[in-house]
Formats: sequence, C-alpha cells, structure tokens
Amino acid sequence: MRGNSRETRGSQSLVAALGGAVLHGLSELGRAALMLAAALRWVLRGRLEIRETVVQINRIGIESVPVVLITGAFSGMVLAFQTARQLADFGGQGFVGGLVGLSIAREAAPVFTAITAAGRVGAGMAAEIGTMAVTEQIDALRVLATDPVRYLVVPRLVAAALALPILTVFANVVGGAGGYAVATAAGISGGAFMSSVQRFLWPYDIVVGLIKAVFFGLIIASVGCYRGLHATGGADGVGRATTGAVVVAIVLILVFNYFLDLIFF
Amino acid sequence: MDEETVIEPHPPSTPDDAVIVASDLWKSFGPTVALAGFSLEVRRGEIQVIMGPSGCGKSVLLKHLVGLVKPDRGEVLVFGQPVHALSDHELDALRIQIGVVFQSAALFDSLTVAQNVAFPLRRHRNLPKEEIARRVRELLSLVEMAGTEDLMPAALSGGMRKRVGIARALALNPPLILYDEPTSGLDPLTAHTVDNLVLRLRAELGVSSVVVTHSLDSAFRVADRLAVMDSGRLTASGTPQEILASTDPFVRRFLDTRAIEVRAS
Repeated sequence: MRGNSRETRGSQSLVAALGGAVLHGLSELGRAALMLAAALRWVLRGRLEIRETVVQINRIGIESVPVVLITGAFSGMVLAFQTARQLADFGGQGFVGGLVGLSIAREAAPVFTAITAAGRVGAGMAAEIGTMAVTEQIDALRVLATDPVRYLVVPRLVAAALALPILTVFANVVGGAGGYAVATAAGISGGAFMSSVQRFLWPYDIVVGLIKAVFFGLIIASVGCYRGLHATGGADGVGRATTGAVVVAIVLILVFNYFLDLIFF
Repeated sequence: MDEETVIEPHPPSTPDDAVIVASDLWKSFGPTVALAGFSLEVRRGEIQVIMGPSGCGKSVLLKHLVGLVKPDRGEVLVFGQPVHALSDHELDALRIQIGVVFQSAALFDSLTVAQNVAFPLRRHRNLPKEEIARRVRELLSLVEMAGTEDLMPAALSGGMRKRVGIARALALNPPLILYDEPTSGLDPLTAHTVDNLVLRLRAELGVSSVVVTHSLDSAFRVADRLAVMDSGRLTASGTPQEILASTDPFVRRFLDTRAIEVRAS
C-alpha cells in the first residue's frame, strides 16, 4: 500500500513541487506587497513614529559606520591596486583615478554598503521582529490597537532609506581615500590621480549611487521586516527568518542593482 | 496627537446582557480543525471560564474574540459588534475596550516594565507624563509588582511577567478582559494571587472576564460559569455545580483525571 502511494506520488511530485513552489513564491510576493502598501499608506498619511524612527536611524546608521568605513576603504584600495597594475602595462596611468572613482561611486560604495547592511541590519530586523512574532508580542501590539506595520515596519523602512545613502557617502569618501593611497603608493602621482577623477567622475554618478542606496535600504528593511513578521515556530523559525532575510536581501540588491544601472546609465 | 488617542471606548450596548456571543464558529488551519461549530454566550459582569485539554481550540477561540483570527464560518459579536466583519479602524476601537492577558505575557522585550504598562496609555490616552507615571505605579501595585518600574522583562520570573502583563491589560480600564492560561507555569501561591485579582476586578469594577485554563483549581475558584471544550466544540456549559454534576462522559473523564492528578501530587 505504501509502495503504491509512493509511486503515484512519484509521478506527480515534480509537477506538484514546481506548482507548490510557484504558488508559495507568488503568495509571499503578494503578502510582501500588501505589507509595503500598508506602510506606504501610513507614510502618505504622515503618521510616522518619530521616536521609533530615531532609534532605528541610530541602530542602522550610526552603529553601522565602523564596518562601512572598513569595507569602503578596502574596496577602494583593491580597485586602485588592480587598475593601477593593469593600466600601467598599457601606459594608462591617467585613467586610474577616474576608473577607481567611477567604480566606487556607481557600484562599489552603494552595493558593498548595502550588502554589509543586509548582513548586519537586515538580519537584526528579522531576528528582533521574528522573536516578537513567535512570543505573541506582535499579537499583543495588535490587541493594544497598534498596527505592527505602523509601529515596527515604517520606522525601519524610513530609517534604512535615510541611512543607506548617508553610509554610502562615507563609503565614497573612505573608498576614494583608500584608492588614492594605494594608487600613489603604486607610483601614480597624486595630481594625476585627482585630475583623472575630475575628468571622469561627474556629480550625476555620485547622485545615482546614492539613489541606488535608497532602494537598497528599502529592500533590506522590507525583507527583514517581512521575514520577521512571518516567522513561526520558536527559535528555529527565527533562525530561518534571519538567514532567509540576508540571502533574499543580497540577491535582490544585486538584481535590482543591474536593472537600476540599465535605467540610470 | 495621534488619531488613536481620540478614540474613547463607546459604552457597550447590547440588547440583552451578553458581552460576547459566539455562534457556530468554524476554523481550520490546513487539515487541522481548531473550532468545529463552537457557540457560547458570555454575560456582563461574569467570569466565564473555558476549560479543556491542550489543543482543544481554547486559545484559537480567544484570538477570534479580538479579531486576531477570522472564522471560516460563524460569527462573533463583542459588545454587539461583529468582530469578524469590522474595518481595521473599527477593530482598533473595539480592541481598546478589551484587555488581553497572553499565555506568555507577551511583554515587549525592548521596553522596561513601566514602559510596557504605559504603552496603551501613551498610545490611546492624551495624558501628561506625571499622570501616566502615577497610573503605572497604581497598576503595578495592584498586581503586587510595585518598585519594578525600571526592570527589563528579561530580568523577571515567569510569574512576575504574567502579573506585569495583567497590569498592561488593565491600563485602559477595559470592561472586558480575556485571560489565556493566566495561572499556567505559576507556583500555587502566585496562581492564587492571580485568581484573587480576577475575582477582585469583577467585584470592584464589574469587569466581565473570559478565562481560558486547564487548571481545575483555578477554574473552580473563579468561575461564575464554566464551559468545557473538546476538539473545537462545546461539550458542556453551566455553573460550576452543574459542571460537577454533569454526566457527559468527556466532562467526567476530564474532571476525574485532574482530581487524581491533584491528589497524587
């Protein structure tokens, strides 16, 4: 009997699994869209939880500065190291500053900052809200006539959308400085580096990098909050929500990064 | 300040004396049937105890009463309002009139004891700081937790958390309080304190209560009316005397096993 049912299941299992996965994905997407729509309604009605938002800006922004400074500096340094070596072979030292500056402003600073924040901040949101979900604290918010989207999600979305571009500015500065240091150590003169930066790097590049950072902040916070709100099943569920939040956020950041580049550049 | 702060509980109005009317509630979670045609009326000023084995649908029933879960079929009227059909705003206005004591207390971990108790006051009452502090002190001494204002929930024992949870549920003077296993996991002395508190609130403030429990001791100590639940259905309902005299085989079995357990321990 068991064997029979297993065979029947075997023939249907692939289709069923595929269909199940698609349905699951669509329903997740739908629920996430509903959460974002509810958050947007609160923002448009001007109902911001100021105190919570300030707490989150502090947590997302200020506490992330050291790690962003380190990743920003090293990504600038490695870019300068590679470009200086490659371009020197072709006598293209004059392009090093511009290449490093452009790469940092357009890609390295926003993307690496976002990935660092996804690991730090997105995971923290999923863990915190997930713990609240599995210990009835979200239900408690609801019965105290407080919408969890308004009280928990909106402050995190706003804080991340504000903090990520500011962190990206820091990454731009230290990345540029790191690149300058490595390039000059590799024999390119400081003046050549700076004039190359001035020639190739336009304010538009920096602004687009910051606009991308706003999107990345929204991705990190919405994935972290969504995963947290829908965590079930105790500590194990919170763990799954947390790792899921980081993985999904990083994938979405890289995918969106490509499409935002198509739009802006 | 906030939209919510102006919501004042409108005086409960039902033609008869029922604060809660649940009729023919059905609810399934996937293949699991949690409620299978459950009906019950709770009268004003009475303590209605609902007993039953774990997993019989008691907690799910409580969630229906505050609109955390919507029934697949059937309806719930609380203060004459159809909980399952209210808009978010109407539901919030209703929830302000209902205090909920969660099984796990569901205190907000990121807030101190005082901030937890003050939470509903801050959000729904436009009171000066000193008035809120005074009310918090009053509520904490009511549950014998005076002096714990600045502690974090993590520093409290299970019984202390539960009592703070009760203080928070009482903050807005709700005319109806729902208790989910208020004495589970408490030592007999603390359980007795909680039972006495439930009785006092009825005697002094005329609060209506629904107490979900599997502690027979507690049930018979506080109940004006008792309902016994099994597999999502109401098996028996009546005064404690009527339940004790019940000939229903499930009720007998439930009462007998518990009596033996109590004697054995």
